Amino acid sequence: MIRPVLSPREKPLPGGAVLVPLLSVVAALVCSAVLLAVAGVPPLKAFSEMFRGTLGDLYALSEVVVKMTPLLLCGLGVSLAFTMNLWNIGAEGQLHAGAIAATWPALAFPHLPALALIPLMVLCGMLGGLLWALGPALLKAKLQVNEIITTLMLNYVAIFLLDFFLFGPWKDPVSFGFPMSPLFSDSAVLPTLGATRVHLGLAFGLAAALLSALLLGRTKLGFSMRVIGANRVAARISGMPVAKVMIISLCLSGALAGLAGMSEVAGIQGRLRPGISPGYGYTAILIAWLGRLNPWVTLLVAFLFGALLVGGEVLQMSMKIPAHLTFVIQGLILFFVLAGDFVGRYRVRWLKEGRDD
Amino acid sequence: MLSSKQALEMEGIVKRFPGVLAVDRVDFRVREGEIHALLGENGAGKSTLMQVLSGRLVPEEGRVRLDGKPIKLGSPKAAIDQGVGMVYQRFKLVPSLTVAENLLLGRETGRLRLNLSDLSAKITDLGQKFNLPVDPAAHIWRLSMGERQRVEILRLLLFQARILILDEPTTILTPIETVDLFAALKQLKDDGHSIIFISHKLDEVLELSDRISILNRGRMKATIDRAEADKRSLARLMIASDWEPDAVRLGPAQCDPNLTPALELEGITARDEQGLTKLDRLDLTIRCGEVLGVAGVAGNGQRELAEICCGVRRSLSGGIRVNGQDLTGKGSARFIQAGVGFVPEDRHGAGCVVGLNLTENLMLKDYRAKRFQKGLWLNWKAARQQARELIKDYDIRPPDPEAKAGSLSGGNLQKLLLARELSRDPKLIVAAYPLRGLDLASAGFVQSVLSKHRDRGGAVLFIGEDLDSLLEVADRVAVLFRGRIMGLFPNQGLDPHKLGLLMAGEKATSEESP
Repeated sequence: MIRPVLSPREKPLPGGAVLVPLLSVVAALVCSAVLLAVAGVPPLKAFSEMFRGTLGDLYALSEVVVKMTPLLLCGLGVSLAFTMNLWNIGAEGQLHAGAIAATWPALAFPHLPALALIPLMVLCGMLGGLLWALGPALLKAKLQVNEIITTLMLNYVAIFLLDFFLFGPWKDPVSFGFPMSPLFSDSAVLPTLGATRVHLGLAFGLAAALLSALLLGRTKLGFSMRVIGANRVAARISGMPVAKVMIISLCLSGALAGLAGMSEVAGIQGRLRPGISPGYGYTAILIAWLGRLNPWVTLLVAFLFGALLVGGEVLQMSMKIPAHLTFVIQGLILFFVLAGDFVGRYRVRWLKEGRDD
Repeated sequence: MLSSKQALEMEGIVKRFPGVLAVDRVDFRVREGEIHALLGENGAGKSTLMQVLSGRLVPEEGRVRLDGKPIKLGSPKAAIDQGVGMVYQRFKLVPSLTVAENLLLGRETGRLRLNLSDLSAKITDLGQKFNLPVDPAAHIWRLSMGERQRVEILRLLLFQARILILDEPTTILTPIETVDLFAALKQLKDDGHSIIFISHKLDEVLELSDRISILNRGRMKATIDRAEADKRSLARLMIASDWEPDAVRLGPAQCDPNLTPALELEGITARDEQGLTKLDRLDLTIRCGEVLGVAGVAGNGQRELAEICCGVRRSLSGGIRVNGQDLTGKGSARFIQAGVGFVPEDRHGAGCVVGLNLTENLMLKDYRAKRFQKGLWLNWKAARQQARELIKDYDIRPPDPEAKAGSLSGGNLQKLLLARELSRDPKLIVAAYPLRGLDLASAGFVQSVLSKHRDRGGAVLFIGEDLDSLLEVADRVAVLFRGRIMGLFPNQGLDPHKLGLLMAGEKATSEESP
């Protein structure tokens, strides 16, 4: 009998960093092809559409980058908490809180010049996300309340809070009853790149990735975060201010998600409205996990997820594939990438049993 | 009951770990009905070899035969089915379940209904037969380490194991529990079981075993009969080392023995996590320039005492002064600032961060220090430079500042902790069981480093379990029993027997009031 035995790889696979994800995607596409064929859709045509719609031309690429922006910011945020071994499941809520907080100056001071208004909105958006994370952070640091539960539950609060503002004080008088805020003034809208929808939020995301990398690799705070995340007992014995760093890192985490919310309302929507996020904050958890605490890998992963989102939309529109089938294809790709990640880190050896030579 | 029949034959076993050849073409044979000691320093490959046997590790090369029949490698289940079982250093028991429930785990009963009473009766029977008494209805978390070990052995017996592997079983036992264990093992041997006894303690090995195999850096050095072995020859086979204690770098003398004491504890009370009082209005003073040894049976407040002295645990009453400075109620950061170094009992779990490299671990307590800053950033160059120097001074292997702390052997990890603590010029070093689990060479190294610290005017609180090593280094010895100091004696002509009685709680007149 032959059976597999798993052992961690001593060295990474040669070229594995590129090859493994690539092969995973190919394997996923093969599986999807079977599925599409069964559903009566020509698979090759679907794939070429999907490719054309995501990486095929500059406009397609720009759409991927648009989707990547909030994923990157939230993913980096979740990743910062993750470094501390804290699970911030609340990026979705922090994103909404950031969107709400950033809307306030846009509506209150529409006539400020962009150079003043946008920094103000950035500040408010980050503060909103930070405040949304502050409660769970304090509860965790002072009373050891599980942050997974508190951050998760605050998501719903934030989403309903957004509804409250849209049905109440910030409802646009000329929206015919739709729950939307009035359109932002021009100075409250983020500048975009050429004719695309890529907005300044991308720069925020890239800057956040760079700052995260510097924070973790080269600062005292980042070092203490890594130590506390890896071994809280040793950190305490070494005199590190564990509770303080916990609060700071969860707040930073929330602030980044809040910035994502700000850049969505100011860069994409131009107003506050419901459904600004199709679950960016939840997808960010996966992105952070696959990013393995490395901001640059997180960036790559966020791009891949952006492409998945756009690819799904393209399939629905151009091939008339039902939305649920596109979700299955997205799920398959995710599944294979996760499995590939595992294969990249472990070695499978086939052991022959009962041999005697 | 010695027969010449081979119960186990391992041939040409090779096992590699990243960057290390842990076991190098090792042959190992065990006869039926013998106690076979597997002796070697830390990192010699004893545990690795035995984990290959018990199926936890898959060897790169080699064969294993039981009673002449080859067994399938890399399968714990196959090993158990063939009658090979191992008691690991860290027990695999579920604390919240009872003994019987734990022993039920992993047994395929083939029925839906669990029959605990049959199993309980079996446990009691086996316990009586082999001198391994344990209450089947007791919850694991209530049991002492010795009792838990009995449960592990009973588990193997319930699986009809013929070959029992015990990985350093006495490390966690009190002296009395050790005697009980040895009696049980001899009884098992008489019943025809083969026992493989992993150890690095020469006395134990000579007392218990019929034959002794010595591993040295992954190679099998020799297998000899007990009758032909003596301490000296075993030590020579086992030790391969060239450490140089004189190369150790220590800070300048810190304080005058005639001046302020290094540490003063007054009326300290502490409770453990279960709320049991572990320290009871304890007073203790450590002078500069002395090693104060704390003797006692484990669990009498040693851990709490060590943590109180380092500010990791807060006292519920009384006061603490370090070098004259009142630190009552302060946290570990203030204690570190005041010059307290700590070598904790749990080196992996509390002493270092296994996932970080040596450079990072060596600057764990100093990452805020000026010499490691460059403007906003950490100065990794300076940190690596310090790491390289310390690694060289303390002969830490592998000598790679980028190696993960988790890849170090026990002795090297202890050197790493000492290097970090002593390089900070501490006034007081609190060392909890600093020799536990170390091979002779590393233990000697630790002892000499601590004595050296003392000679330069530093103070050491040395919490130990085995009296011999304590008496070798300590200037004064305090006996701890149920959270109180039973007596405090200068280390001159001490009678170990009397100390033993005090450790067991017998009252005696102390020669010096604590």
